[in-house]
Amino acid sequence: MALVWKDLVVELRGREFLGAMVAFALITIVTLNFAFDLSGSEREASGAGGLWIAFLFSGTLGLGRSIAVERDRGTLEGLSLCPVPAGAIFLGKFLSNLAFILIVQVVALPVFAALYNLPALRPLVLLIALVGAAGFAALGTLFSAVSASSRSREILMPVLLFPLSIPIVIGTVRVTTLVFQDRSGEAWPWFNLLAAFDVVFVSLAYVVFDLVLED
Amino acid sequence: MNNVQRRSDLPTQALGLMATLILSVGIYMAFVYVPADRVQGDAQRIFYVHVPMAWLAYLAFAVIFVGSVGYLWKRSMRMDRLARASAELGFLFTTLVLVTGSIWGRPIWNAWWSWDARLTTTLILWFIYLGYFVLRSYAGDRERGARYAAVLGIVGAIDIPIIHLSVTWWRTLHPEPIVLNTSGPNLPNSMLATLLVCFAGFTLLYIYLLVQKYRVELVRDTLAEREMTMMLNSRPHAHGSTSQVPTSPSSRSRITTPGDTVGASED
Amino acid sequence: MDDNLGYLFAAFGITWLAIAGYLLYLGQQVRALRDEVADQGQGMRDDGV
Repeated sequence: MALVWKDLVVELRGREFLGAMVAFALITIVTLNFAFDLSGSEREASGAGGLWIAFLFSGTLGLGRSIAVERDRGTLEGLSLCPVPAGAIFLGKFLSNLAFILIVQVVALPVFAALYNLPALRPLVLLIALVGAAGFAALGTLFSAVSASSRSREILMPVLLFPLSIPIVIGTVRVTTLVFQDRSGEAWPWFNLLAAFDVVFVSLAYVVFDLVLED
Repeated sequence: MNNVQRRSDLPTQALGLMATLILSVGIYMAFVYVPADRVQGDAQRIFYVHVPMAWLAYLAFAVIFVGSVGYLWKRSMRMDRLARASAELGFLFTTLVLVTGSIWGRPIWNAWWSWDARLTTTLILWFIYLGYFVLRSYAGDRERGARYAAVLGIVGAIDIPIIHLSVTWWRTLHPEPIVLNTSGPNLPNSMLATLLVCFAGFTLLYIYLLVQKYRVELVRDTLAEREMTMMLNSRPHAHGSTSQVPTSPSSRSRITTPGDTVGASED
Repeated sequence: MDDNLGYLFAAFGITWLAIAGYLLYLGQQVRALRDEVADQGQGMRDDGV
């Protein structure tokens, strides 16, 4: 448990990168206005989609960065040498990656709501933002560790992560769109799907992380 | 070495022959025996290769899953080899499913693609296969490649049903022409029979290819292992004490008797 | 519907060509490996294994 906390603290010290992640998400959200027609009848759907693209891309940056930094510092190998359960290491990284994504969301959502006059601060939107971020962070932590030792780590990680995260993309955008359209009642099946997704993949990643850290 | 010199042993050759035979019957049935679809005409016959190959695309990944779990559990090279062999086949068939699906779609929908749920999931599957290969080739050393590939194999296999579910739900929001108008028990008997024959033929083909590819990988692995051992042995004093690198019993027997059949002793 | 025959033949054609191509590729791999095995065998004899 102490290790989890320690790793979290270490990661959170990478705050300077967090700034870049937030900036990137905000810029993406503004760019949405020029890329999509957010005044027409499809604005809820396009807005929700664009919002999540901002989250996923800045999240990807954050994931890649955290592993690269760790690798350069050589701490990844150091961690696997001491007799700490890999699961704990996973939790530390997962939680810190998740925290970074959540912080980006906390900043980006009000900005989005203001710019586009869409109710991005409704509870269900926030909830699904958390649930989606958790699933993405779990798979992302796993696959950034997997890519860390490869020559083309920056490219490999998204190549592996994105196809597997398609349910997250579909689910979160769907729920967000429905909330924007005042159809929150229809969102629950999607929410359940994503919650189940999180349970499955956080536990799977936790269990399997052992394999990744072996060297 | 005999196993490499013989094309393949009798059971495998028989398997290959069976597959060819049944596929030939299947093609005949698909072209001649079965009537053309009322709505889609002759283009619908593509169904008889498209669907069985889709089955293979997913079957191959299921085999990757089995191999990945097996590798995780027992660190058996055999299991990793199985996964490796199936991956290449799976990628081939997935690509063909997408291509035949596209060709079929063109005259029917007037478009080269439709975000039909099954086709879309297969597209995502294609990318997962691609990721599997990129992962393996960029992994550095073989053992790490096997481990990481096993991770992807397991995560991927568990994710695929979820992906399919979410894509199917998503598709109900955007109804578009579907690939199959007829499926399941509503198929007329002649179509069902043709489809089943093609299923059987393709499945046998897959098994045949899997066996062959597995053997190729086995020889590759053995060569690589011997290469390693030879390299280590040719250094004058390896670790001071012994000049022979300790190897696992099975591989030692392969090295000391080069005349043995490579395929006979599998570990 | 005869104009759709072109698509039909294209689909079947590509399928069988791809499978045949893959079989050839496997055969090539077998041959290449056979040579490598022979070379390695020679190398081992040279080393006095």
